[in-house]
Amino acid sequence: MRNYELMLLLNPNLQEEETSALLEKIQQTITTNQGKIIKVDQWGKKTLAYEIKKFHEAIYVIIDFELDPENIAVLERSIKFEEKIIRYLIVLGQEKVLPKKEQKDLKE
Amino acid sequence: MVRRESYRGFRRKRKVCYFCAEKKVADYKNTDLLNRFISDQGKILPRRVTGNCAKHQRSLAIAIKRAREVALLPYVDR
Repeated sequence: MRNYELMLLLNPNLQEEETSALLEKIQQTITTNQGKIIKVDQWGKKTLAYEIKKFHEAIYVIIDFELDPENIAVLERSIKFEEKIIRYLIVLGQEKVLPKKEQKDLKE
Repeated sequence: MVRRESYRGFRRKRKVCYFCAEKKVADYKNTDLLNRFISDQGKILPRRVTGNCAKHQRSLAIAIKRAREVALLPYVDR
């Protein structure tokens, strides 16, 4: 299990129910692959720094989760399949990347 | 030996790495912070301008590039 952070940019024209349904689906893909959701953070609509697929804004969502590295590919495939997601980014969670000493510094 | 005052009494202040001083780590989500380390064209400022240490400049560059990927920061800004 490793900590990951997933950032999703969603189509800005989505209704609120559609957004939550989509997020529910993504979260289910994580949990059915023995993953664990840690935190879901919705930033809401933000203007993009540049145009993506003809959109000038997007709904930003960040999901912190734990998952086995082998299952990341499964998650990635299901994200790519989703057309409402215009861009995504999966990075390792910061806690695991930092050496212990610096982690302590951060908490202070 | 007495060290001579630098040229015309003007002395450049020694810059300190922001991330070392603040004990922070560059995060791609924190655009307000990252904005301080890019030029008005959107380029990453060099170490000689920002005064960052090598280690933190590297992590900063990665953070800026990630932010660009998700359109939080521009690749080019004219």
